[in-house]
Parts: sequence; structure tokens; C-alpha cells
Amino acid sequence: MALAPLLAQRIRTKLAYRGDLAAGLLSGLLLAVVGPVFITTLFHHIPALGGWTGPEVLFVWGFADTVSGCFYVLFQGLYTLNRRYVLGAELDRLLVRPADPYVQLLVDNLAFEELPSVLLGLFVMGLAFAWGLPAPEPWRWAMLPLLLAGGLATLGGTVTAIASLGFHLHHRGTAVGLVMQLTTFARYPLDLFGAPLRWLLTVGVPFGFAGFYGAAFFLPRPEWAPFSWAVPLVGVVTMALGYGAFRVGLRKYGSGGG
Amino acid sequence: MPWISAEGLTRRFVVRPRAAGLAGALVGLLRPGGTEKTALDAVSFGIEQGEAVALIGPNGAGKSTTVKLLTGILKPTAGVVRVGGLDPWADRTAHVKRLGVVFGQRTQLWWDLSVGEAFELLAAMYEVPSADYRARLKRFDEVLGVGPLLGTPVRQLSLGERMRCELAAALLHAPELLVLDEPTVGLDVAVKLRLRAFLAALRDEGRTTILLTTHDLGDVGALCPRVLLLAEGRLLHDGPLEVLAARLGGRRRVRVTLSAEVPDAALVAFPGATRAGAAEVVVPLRDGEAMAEVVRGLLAALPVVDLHVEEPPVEQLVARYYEGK
Repeated sequence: MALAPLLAQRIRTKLAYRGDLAAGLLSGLLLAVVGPVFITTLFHHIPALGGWTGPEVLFVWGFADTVSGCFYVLFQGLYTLNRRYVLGAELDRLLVRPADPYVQLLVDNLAFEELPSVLLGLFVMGLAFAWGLPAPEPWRWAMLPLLLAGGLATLGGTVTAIASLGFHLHHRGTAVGLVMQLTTFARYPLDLFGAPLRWLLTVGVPFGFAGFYGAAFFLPRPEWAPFSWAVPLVGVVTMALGYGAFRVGLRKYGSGGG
Repeated sequence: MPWISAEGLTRRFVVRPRAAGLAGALVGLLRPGGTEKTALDAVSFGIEQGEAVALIGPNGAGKSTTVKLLTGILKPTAGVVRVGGLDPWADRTAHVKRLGVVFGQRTQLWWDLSVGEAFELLAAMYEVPSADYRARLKRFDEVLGVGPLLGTPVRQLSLGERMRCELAAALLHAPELLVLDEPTVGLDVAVKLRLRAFLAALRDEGRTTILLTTHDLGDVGALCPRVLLLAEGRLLHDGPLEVLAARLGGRRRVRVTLSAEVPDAALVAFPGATRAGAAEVVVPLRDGEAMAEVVRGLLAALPVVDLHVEEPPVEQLVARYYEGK
């Protein structure tokens, strides 16, 4: 399989620019710290928010940050798909090599400088328990990798579909950054928001499954369980749709010609 | 069926005209519309294994589109293309394993890696056995001189160095089909000759089918017994270059630099002679005329300082083709 050498190459390239990597790691960490600091400060002034306690909100935030952190590490290529690969015809290079072009796109753009966000997310989840969140039954932890992966696939699949619009639209811009703004809402319990937004994040741009719905599985809130169990399924379906959209886009690919 | 076969191969693009200014951009956003442009129009040809074929034609003729359809980068709008029984687009992964590609305008290597690292990565991707890899690397060092470049980052190579490395990289996995899209563009004469000699040797081994696009008829003369002439997406000629040139009468011409300006009367003896500058004259070779005869006449009649023989440019061949219609 051609993936391993490509991966090794990407790591080597990143290490060759050590300065950039260090700066990226540091700024990523600083940005990521803002959220948990805000939440802990807020709940020092108010006891609960829409019925949710501080530790609960902090846990949801940590879970969602782990998922989106993994997304930023793995799916960075989607941000440049339109401009660099479709309009700039860089995709030619990937298409004449014996590996899946989608996988090559992701591997060529792996962003290890986003890793602190993942680690911080895991740390914040732990912090929520130290702050008084009751521990769930131990067996529930077995579901954590599956729920994180399902959330990651939901995020990755949705954004892949959005980025693949670039094959058809021929505009320089991309809606990826705009859509990613919606992940901010999935970092909080969704019933804090109005019904339209809740619907949007469940069936429209299903980022609810990339944050809150997965996290709720570890909170003493059994009413959200059906949504939590749906996370892996939604992940698989969204990823399949996103990859399908990419393949459909490839048929339209004009290699700079149109 | 020939090893490479194209039947009615067609590719159309949608061209979206952009109205000027901000208002135009907004209109474009709401009503994307556009016109269809046919880059390749029902082209059919067959190429046997081991052949060396050149695709020539003016800019926008459909050369690159043909190459991209054969390499599986583009999906045909209509028509069928097969390479060794595979559909390049649908069976891309299997197809590209036996394909080597050199794009003159775009590197296949990685800017951030050294040449050696890029070679090793390619060898791993194509699963080249390490004994074969070492043997090929040794050969490429001997004939292309890539050995001393192995430690250099790709971004620091000169164009000539890079093209030598690109060619070696494309051949590391001993592909059955080598596709070169304008491989000699921008290269100096020495590098050009070196690449041509290497490719000629590769052709003579007969194991690699070579397809190249070029604007330089020197490449064609040195490498490709067979020429496909494309213009405006159509195939105009399929056969040897000499036949094409002879058919069109667009033979070679002699360009002489003179030590001093000569009066028009001195040029009367050379029909069709044109001035290309104060002290430069171009004399076309007419049908049935021997080159040696013309050169001898020029040397005897004019104060010649320098003299060279030019192949007719592709554009001229195409223009003549249309005149003859």
C-alpha cells in the first residue's frame, strides 16, 4: 500500500520546518485555551445555564474540541481542495499516482500542529470530572473511541461534500471555513439554542453528532441516549456521502481547462 | 485492437465568461451559465506497444487534453479510450501503475524533499523491488547524471536538472507507457540533446511506448517516426513527419546572417527569399531542390557570416494544411 511512505514523507516535511511547526503548536494551544477558561469563569458567577451545570458544559466542550481537533489534523486538505487542487490543477499530480486521490489529498495536508487541540480536549474532559461531574458507568468508556470516530467522520464527511462543490462551481472561494463556524454551536448543549438551529445541526449540517450528541452519552442525561447511539451510524453515512460527492466531482474535474 | 486505442474521443469544457467588476461577479454568482468549448472532437487513433509517437499542433489544439485523457486525469465526454485493455479513468489505479508521466510545466516531485527522498518515496509507492531500484538509479546516474543531485532539495534544482530528475522519476518503476507533455520546453540545447539521446535509447529498447507532445520539431525528428497533428481538437494528420511536411510543401529553410546589407538584386537568384532583418535573409527550400545546392549558391553569391537550417514550425504546417484544403 502506498499510504505508509506518503505519511512518512509528510512527517519528514513537517519536521523540516521545525520553526513553523512550533509556532503553529503554540498559537493553536493559545486559541484552544480560550474556550475552557471562558466556561469555568462563567460558571463561577452563575450556578447553571438552561439546566446544565458547569462541569457538564465543560465536558461537552472538551469532547467537541477533541473531535474538531482531530478534524483539523486530518482534513486540512479540504480547505485548499478548491483553490490549489481543482482550480490550480494540482490534482493532476495525485491522479497519476497509484493511490486514492482523496487519501492522497488528506495525507499531503496533514497538520500535526493542530494536535495540541486534541490533547487539550481530552484534558478538559478529565477536568470536568475533577470539577464534580459524576462518573458514568465504566462500560460507557468503551464507546468513547467509537463516538469520537463517528463525530470525526460526520465532520469530515460533511465538509468533504461542501469542499467538493468546488468541482462544479468554478469560484475561487470555498464555503468550508463558513460551514466550520457552525461547529461552535455543537460545543454546547443543543437545547440551549432555538429549534431552527437545533434542527439545522441535526439534519441539515449534522455537526450536533460531532459534538454534543456524542458527549451526552457520558452525562447523567438518559433522554439524549438515542442521539448518542446514532452517532456512529451518522458518521458512516455522512462519510460515505462526502466521499461519493468527491468521486462525482472528479468526473467534472477539468484539470484547469474548465 | 491496438495497445492504445481511441475511438471518437471527445472532451468538452464549460467556459464561464466573467463580466467585469463587482456587479459582474455578483451576476456570475447567481447565474453561473457558460458556453461549451470542444477541446477534443471525435479523435480516433491506435498506437502499438513500443511505438514512439509525437502529438503536435498549435496552442489549444487539444494535445494536453489528449494526454490527460490517456493518463486518466480527465474523463472523456464521449468516445472510448483503452490502454492495454484498461479504461484509464475508470481503472485509474491499475492504469497508472504502468504509466510514467513527465509534465514540463509542472513538477511530479515534491518541492520540500530532496531528489533522493522523492525517488525513494516513488519507489515505495510503486513497490519497486530494491534491487531493481538500485540498478535503475545507477543507470539513470550514468545517462542522465542524476547521482550528484540526489541530496539537493527539488525546489533548488535548475530547470535542466529538474527535467533530468523528472524523467528518471517517471521511469523508476519501468512503466510500459511513458507520456511526456512538452518535456523540452525552456531547456538549453545541451540538456535537450541529452534528454533526446536518452529517450531515443529507451525507444530502441522497444519495451516502452512513448507519447510526447511538443512544439519543437527537433524532438520529433530525433524521437518519433510517427506524428499526430492536432488542430482545434481535430486530428489532421497521422503518419511520418516527412510525409506531412512533403505533402504540405512546408519544407526546411535556410537562414543566413550577412556581413553587410545586400541590394534586392542580389536576392533575385533565390526565389521566395525574405529579409528577416538588416543583414539576415531566409530562403525556403522548394520541392525537389537539394539543400546542398541552395547552401552552395548562397555561399557563392552572398557575404555569408553564419548559416543555419530550420525545420518548419508547427504553426506553419498547420497554416499550410488549411491553405491546401
